[in-house]
Amino acid sequence: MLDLPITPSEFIAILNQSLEYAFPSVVIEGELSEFRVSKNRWLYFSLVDEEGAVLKFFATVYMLPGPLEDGMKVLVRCSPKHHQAYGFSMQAQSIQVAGLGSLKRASDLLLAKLTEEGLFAPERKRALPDYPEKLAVITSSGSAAEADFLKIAAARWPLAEITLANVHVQGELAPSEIVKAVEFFNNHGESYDALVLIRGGGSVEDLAAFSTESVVRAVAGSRIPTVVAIGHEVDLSLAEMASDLHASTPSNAAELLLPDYASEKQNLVSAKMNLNHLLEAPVVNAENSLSQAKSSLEQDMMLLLSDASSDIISLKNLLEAYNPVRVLKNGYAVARLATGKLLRSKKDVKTGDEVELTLSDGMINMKVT
Amino acid sequence: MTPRKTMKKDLKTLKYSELREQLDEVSSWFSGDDIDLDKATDAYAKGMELIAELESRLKTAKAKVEKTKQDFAA
Repeated sequence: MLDLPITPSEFIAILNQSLEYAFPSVVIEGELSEFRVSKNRWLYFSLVDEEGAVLKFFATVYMLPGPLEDGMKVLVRCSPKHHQAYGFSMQAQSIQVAGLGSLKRASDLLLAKLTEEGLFAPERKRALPDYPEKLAVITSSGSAAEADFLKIAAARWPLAEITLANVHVQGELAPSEIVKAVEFFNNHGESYDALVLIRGGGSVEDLAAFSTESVVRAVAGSRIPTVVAIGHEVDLSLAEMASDLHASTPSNAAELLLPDYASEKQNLVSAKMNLNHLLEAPVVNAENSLSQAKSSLEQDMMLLLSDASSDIISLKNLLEAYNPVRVLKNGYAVARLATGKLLRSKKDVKTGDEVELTLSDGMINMKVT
Repeated sequence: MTPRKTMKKDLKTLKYSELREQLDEVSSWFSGDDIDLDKATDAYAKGMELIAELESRLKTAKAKVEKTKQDFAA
């Protein structure tokens, strides 16, 4: 009981202190009404229920799980506050979409918005490395998803070093933790070959975190190539659509991402055999080339010798044709004076000169009369 | 062009994927035009060294898992 008069400001301060003490954090579920965004930063909306009760809320756009509209069912973590100028309202701390219909509608709105931005475009998809060695895995520690992924990964590709980040994979805290983990690995000094985000199956509500705007943007914006696997049989989550590769289950993610150890061993054996086979061709080519060169050289030499031999025979025949002995044998004789001068005309001699005749088989001395 | 040259000791410093890439280069080189015996025997020796290193990596591989020091779950 306060008997001393106080000012309205003082009363509001005491009221807020009492409210903060009584309701530091309360989650209220209701249907969105009068939802509006002011200056791209502030959110104003009301939550109504079937009884017709209305509660006014104040929030910032950073709390949005994605585009919202009137009629959607949402869960808002908040605390009550009375503002001096604007009166009573609930100050939101986080907003989650709730209920199948609303989740589907929220997902459709976000899908349309991010599709327009090109976040799901096929040309944005990057190829995953063939032989990843450093993997960053974001999941809930101790979950079946984690166990399944690690089991398949160890069996398929034990060369991979896996760093695990523990996050909530459902509920109010999941989106912000997943985003922090994605940012952590992207800003970490080590270079990861792939970033894997996994969880097992669940209800649409359980998987809602994977279709919130912040998680989808984090996956799409990751510099490390991403693999997202959320075990379910219905529509893909938006995070899977934004990833470079999506798999049906955590086990399937390990199978798609990692090469098979046994196959790779066999590949290396085949590569060895293939290399031996590949070297055969150059060796055979070199041998053939050498053999051809040898034959060609032998042929050239033979041709050279044959040509030389023909020349010699021709020369010999020519010389033979000019051989004077052959002419003498035909009855011709060579006449010379005693001085040795060759007689070519009767004018070269006079009566009494001695002349020497050379015949094929000897010489005769004669006197000109 | 012959496959890129890597010193034997350097093979240890390369990642598995890099070694595998070099092995693919060696194999592709053999289907090229400028093949002579000297280069082919060099390429063959290089390929065999790469395979030996890759096989050794597979033989000694052991799965290594660690948790991040920073736990993101509140």
